Amino acid sequence: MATPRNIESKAEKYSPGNLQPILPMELIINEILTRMEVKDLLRFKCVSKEWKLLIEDRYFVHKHLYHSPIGRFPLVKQSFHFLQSYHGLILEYSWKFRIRNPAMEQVFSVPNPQKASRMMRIGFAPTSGLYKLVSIYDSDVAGNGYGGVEILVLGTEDKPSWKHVDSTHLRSFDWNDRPSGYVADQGVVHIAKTSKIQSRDHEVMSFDLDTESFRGHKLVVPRSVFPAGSDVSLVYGAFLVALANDELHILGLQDCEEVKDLFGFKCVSKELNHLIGDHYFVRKHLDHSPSGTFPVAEQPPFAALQSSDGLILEKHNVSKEFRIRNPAMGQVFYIPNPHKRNRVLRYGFAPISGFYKLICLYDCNVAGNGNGGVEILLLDPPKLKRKLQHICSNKPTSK
Amino acid sequence: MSITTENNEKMITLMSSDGEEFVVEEAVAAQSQTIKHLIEDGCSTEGSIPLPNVTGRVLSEVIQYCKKHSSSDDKEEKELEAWDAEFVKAADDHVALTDLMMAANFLDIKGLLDLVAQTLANMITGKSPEEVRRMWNIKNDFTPEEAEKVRKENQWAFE
Repeated sequence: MATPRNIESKAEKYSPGNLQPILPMELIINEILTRMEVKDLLRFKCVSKEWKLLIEDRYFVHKHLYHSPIGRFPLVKQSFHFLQSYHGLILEYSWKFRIRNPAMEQVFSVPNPQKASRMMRIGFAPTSGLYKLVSIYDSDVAGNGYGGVEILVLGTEDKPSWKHVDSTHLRSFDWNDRPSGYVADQGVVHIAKTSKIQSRDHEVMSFDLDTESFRGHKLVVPRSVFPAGSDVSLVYGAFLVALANDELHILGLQDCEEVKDLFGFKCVSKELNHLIGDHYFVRKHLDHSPSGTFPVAEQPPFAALQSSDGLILEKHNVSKEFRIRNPAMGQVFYIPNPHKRNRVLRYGFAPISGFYKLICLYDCNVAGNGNGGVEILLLDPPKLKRKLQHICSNKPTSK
Repeated sequence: MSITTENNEKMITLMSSDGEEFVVEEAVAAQSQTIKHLIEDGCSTEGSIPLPNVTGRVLSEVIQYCKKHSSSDDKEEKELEAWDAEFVKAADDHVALTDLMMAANFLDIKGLLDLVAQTLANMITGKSPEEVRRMWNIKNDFTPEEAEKVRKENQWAFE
């Protein structure tokens, strides 16, 4: 990884008359500041203009979050209930909310929102470079008043407080069903809920973390799309998933602007559902994956499939080889091909074991023989081995 | 020219920027990815490997580290940690540590780089911007007004 890079040219600046050494900026940033706490970093913005720029750089923020080796964090007692994993941060709840940064071994206690929260998500607002919490609240028990949104900005104040930002867009939501939310790239939180009016249709709305307001129109998905009585969740930014009658139903939403953009595919077999185990498992795995809309800027031979937690999963256009890139660390892991031709490949963070894992779904063969199934690949902590290793490949039992 | 010892350990010679020569086992030197690649590319057969960016004083410390870490396995992790702590303590001040860090980066020895970087990070934790500037000879290029503004924006970090 670390090649000599600019050392020679920097070394020329080393004046023998001066006893103080000159450390290349690249080393200061990459190796030293990424290990420091936020309070020190904010103070060090005063050191020089270059330091200020680099500390404020989003790229650095990511690097700061991911410096610690994957999986270093030891097992923790799970007295807190897992809500969301985002950019290496974990949002948890146990009577109160807290944010844990396992890599930095830090915990931040979230003050309670002014109104009881029905759904909370953490997200990154790319324009302002700030992490923000979004809390959705309900009308009161008697049904008076409207539901709304509260926002908490992280990292700017010692004791941040919640503020109301919107109470007009959520009035027609039915809170008897649990709302679900997904934090997508570009600082957007997608929120799905069922409508309060008679139809009880599903509605998807997009909340912009930078402008702190809803954007676009809400997308309405007719209730008839899913079987009656199913529990519908928004996963993955662009899919509604329902579990009903032992079947998994997935509806893809191309974007959240208008109904006509809606394309639907009802799937899938009972087999797949059994294999995946349960609904919760699907959510957990899919929930970590945005819809593959990573800005494709440079490397044409590789196409981005997924970007989350600062990692990018890519596929080579010609050789069909998969790799995971960590742009902040300048690392690349090449992924051994799954045993079966994969249909879907995604990675996610398993918060209890503290491991990143890859999941591959495969199909029956073209002739329709055999069964589909799931393969899992564990991404080893780099400290042990900088290699990937197959730990299991579950072959489905025929039914 | 490669020398072989009695127990058949292949030895190589490293030469520092100030001309000092160090004869070490290949397995020790190969902890440096840079040296390992040089050996693989056949650069060591013609005598010693020149390391133009590393002085003899720093190189001897680096070799000390590599020796310790090539002879230990995972079971001795606790002991190794204690040894590492002593090792950076002996380096004494940020000037020596900075030299060591540049060498670790050039030689690409991940463990040493992590160790020294963490030590330097601990060292500047809680320090004022003025102290940090002095440590690495960084020029304060803010005007007094700009400096005041940045300071105000991040006031809580100074309390």
